[in-house]
Amino acid sequence: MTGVSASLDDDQIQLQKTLRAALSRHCSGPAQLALATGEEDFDPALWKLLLTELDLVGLAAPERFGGGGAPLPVLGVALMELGRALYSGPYFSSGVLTTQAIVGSGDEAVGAEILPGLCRGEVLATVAGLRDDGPDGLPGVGGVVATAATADGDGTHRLTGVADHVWEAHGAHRFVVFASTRDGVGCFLTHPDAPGMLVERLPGMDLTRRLSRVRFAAAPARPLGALDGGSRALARLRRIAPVCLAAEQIGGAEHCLEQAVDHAKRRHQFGRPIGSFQAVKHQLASVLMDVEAAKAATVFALGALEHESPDAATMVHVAKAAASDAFFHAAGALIQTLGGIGYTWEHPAHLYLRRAVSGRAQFGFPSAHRRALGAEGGH
Amino acid sequence: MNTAGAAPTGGDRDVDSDGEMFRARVRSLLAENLPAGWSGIGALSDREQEEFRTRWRGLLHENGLLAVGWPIEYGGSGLSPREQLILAEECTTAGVPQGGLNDNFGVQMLGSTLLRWGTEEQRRYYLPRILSQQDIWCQGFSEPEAGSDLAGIRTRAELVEGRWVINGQKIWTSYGHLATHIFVLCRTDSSVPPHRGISLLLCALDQPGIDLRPLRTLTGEAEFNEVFFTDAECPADAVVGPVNGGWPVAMSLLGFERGEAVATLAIRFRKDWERLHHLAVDPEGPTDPVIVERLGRSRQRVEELRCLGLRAVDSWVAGRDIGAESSLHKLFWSEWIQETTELALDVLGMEAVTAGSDGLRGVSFPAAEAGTPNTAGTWADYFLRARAATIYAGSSEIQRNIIAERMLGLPREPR
Repeated sequence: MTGVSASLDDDQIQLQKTLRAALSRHCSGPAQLALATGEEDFDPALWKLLLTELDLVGLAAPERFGGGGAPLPVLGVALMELGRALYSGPYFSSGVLTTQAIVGSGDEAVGAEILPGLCRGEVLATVAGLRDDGPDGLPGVGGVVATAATADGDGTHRLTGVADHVWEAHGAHRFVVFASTRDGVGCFLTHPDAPGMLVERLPGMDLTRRLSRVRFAAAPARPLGALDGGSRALARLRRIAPVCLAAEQIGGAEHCLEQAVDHAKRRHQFGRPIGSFQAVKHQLASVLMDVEAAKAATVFALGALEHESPDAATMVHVAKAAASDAFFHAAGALIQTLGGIGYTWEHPAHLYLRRAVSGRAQFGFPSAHRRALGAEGGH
Repeated sequence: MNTAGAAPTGGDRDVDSDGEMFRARVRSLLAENLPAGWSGIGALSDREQEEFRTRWRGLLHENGLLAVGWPIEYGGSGLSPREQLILAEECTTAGVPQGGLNDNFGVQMLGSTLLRWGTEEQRRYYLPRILSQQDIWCQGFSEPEAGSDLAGIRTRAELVEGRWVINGQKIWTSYGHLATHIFVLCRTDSSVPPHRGISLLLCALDQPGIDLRPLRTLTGEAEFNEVFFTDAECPADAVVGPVNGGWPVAMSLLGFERGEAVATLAIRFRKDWERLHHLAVDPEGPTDPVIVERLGRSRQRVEELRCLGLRAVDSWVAGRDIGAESSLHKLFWSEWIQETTELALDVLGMEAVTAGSDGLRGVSFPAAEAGTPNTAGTWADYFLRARAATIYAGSSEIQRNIIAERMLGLPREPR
C-alpha cells in the first residue's frame, strides 16, 4: 500500500463541510455576478474570511514560514470548495502559485522574507513568465528574458520582455517571475513599483479570474535560490499547478451538476419534472460519471504528488485532462438543463462556463495532456 | 498438497493488518505453480486454457482461495476484504483466473445469495456442492420479452403435487452448456403486480423438460444459450427466499459486486492499453498525433477507472455499500472497452479488416485475458465482443437511469 488514496478521509470531509458552509454565505449568485462585473479586484470581506476565520491563505505553506504545513490533498479540499463557490481573488496566485514557486526554489531567505506576510494575507503575490502551451501540456517558461550584471556592474538582474496571462496581477505586491537566462530557467523576485514594470489588465472571457499582461523593460529583480533555483521552482509548479487547478475545477463541476439536478427536479414541463425525462437525466448521469472519475483521479494525484509516488507524473496529466473536461461538460450541461434562463446574464451559470473555458487552457489543454499520456507508453 | 496460499488464521491477522504477509503467500503460490515465462492464460490455446482452468480451480480450492468471501463454516476462506482484494490483484496481475468459468454464477452470485437469503438447510446442502463442482450453475433471468424490464418475465412455475413445474424460455444464459443446474427467475403469481409474484427457483438441467440450445452471437461464437422449459420440475423447497418474494432476492443476487472487481479491471485494461500502445506507437518514427491523443485518452480513462476502483475498495474495506456507484463503474468500463477497441481498429486499418479468425482465444469477459497475442485478429474479435459490453449486465440506458435516480435523486420515469 502506497498510502496514496483516491478517497477523502474523515478530517478532509469535515474541512469540506466547514468551508462549504462558510463560503456559501459569501458566494451567492448575485454576489458572484456583482464581483465579476464590478470594478473591485476582489472582495476584501471574503479575503478576510479566508484569512482569519478559515485560515486558508497559508494552508500549504511550510510551518517555518508561518504556514499551516498542510499536505496537498488538504489543499485540494480547500481548492475544490473555492472552485465550487467560484471564488474570485488572489488565493490561487498567492496561496498556491507563489507559495509553491518560492518553496520549490529552495530559497530559504526569500521564503522567510515573503511567506510569513503572505500567510498573514498582508502580502499578495503572483507568478509571471509561465506559458501554458508547452509540448507536454505542462507549464513552460517564455516571454521574459533576464540578463545579469549589466553595465552598472552591481550584479543586478534585469528582466526584459512580456509575460502574458498573469493571474491576479493587479493588487499584487510581489511578482515571482520565470525568465530565460544564459544558464537556463531563472526565477526572480520583483515588485510592481520597480522601474520598467507595467501591468495591463487583459480583457477576459473569465470574469472571475483576472488576467494581465506584465511588461518588463530592464526591470530590476533578485534571483531566487541558487543557480538551479529557477528550474527547481519550475519543476515543482509544473506538477502542482495543473493538479491544484484540477481540484478547483472539480468543485466547479460539482456545483454545476448540483444546480442542474436541482433545476431538473423543480422545473415542470408537459406536466412532469423535466428531470424525469431520460433525455435530461441521461445527460446528467453522464456528467456525474465524468465528475466522479475526475474527482477520484484528482484526489489520488494530489496524494501521489505529496508522497512523490512513481505514478505522480502520469497522474498530473490524468487529473488535469479529466477535471478540465468534466468541468466544461458540467457547465455546458447546466446551461442546457436550465434552458433560456441559463442563457441570461443574471444567472451565474455563464460565470462557471467562462471559468471552465479559461481553466481548460491554463496549465495545459486536456488534449496536450492526453498527447503526453499517449506518447509516454508503459513503464 | 500445496499450502502456501492457505487463508491466514485470526492470529496472523493481527500482525498482518495491511495484508502484505498474505500477499507474499499468494505470490509464492503463484510462483510455485506457474511455468517459467508465463504471460497469462490468454497466451494458451483454447484447449490448453480449458485444461489450465480445471487445474487452477483445483489448486485454488485446495488452498482455500476459491470462495474467498464465504464464511469458513460453509467451506469458504473468510478472507477480509483487503485480503480478497490482494488475491484478486495478484491473480489479475499474473493473468490467472480466480475460479472456473461458472464460478461467477455458483460461488459469487448464488453462493452469496444463499448466504443472505437461503435457509440453513439450503446452505448446508448447496454450498459444498458448488465448491466440489457436483453442481455447476448458470443463470436464467433474461427472456426474449424481458430484458431491461426484467420484472416482466413470463416463465411460469406452479406447485403441482409438491413440485414446481416450470414452463417458459430463458435467453442469454452464459456457459449454460457447461452447467448442471440453473437458478431461474419464475412468475409464481400472475394475479399481483409484476414485482410481487416472482420467485427464484433452483433447477437441475439434466431432465426431459429442459432443452438448452446454443445461441450464436454476432462474433460467430456461441458462449450464450437459450433454455426452454417444458414442464421442467424442481422440488418444492428449491426456492431461495420467500415464494413470490423473489424480486429483492434477484436484485441482491445481481448486486453482489465486490469492491475489487473494478480495481482489477483497471489492471486488465492497463495490459490491453500497453498492447495497443505497442502496436500504435513506433518508437523509431512519428505517430499520427490524433492517434497519440486517442491513446492518451484511453490511458487517462484507465487511470480514472483505477482511482474509482481504489475509492470503491476503501468503501468496501470500511464496510460501506457502494450502492448505485457500481452502475457508474459499469457504464465507465463498458464505454472504455468500446472506445479503445475502436481505436485499435483505426490503428490497424485494413489489417483488422482482413484479420483471420485467430481471434480472442477461449473466454475473455469482459476484457481480453492477460497474455493474449497482440495480433490484428485478437483486436478485431475484441472489438466485436465489445458491442455487447454496453448491453449485458444492465444496458447503458438502464445504468444511466439508475445513476440519475439513485445517485442524483432525479424523479423516475412515469411507468
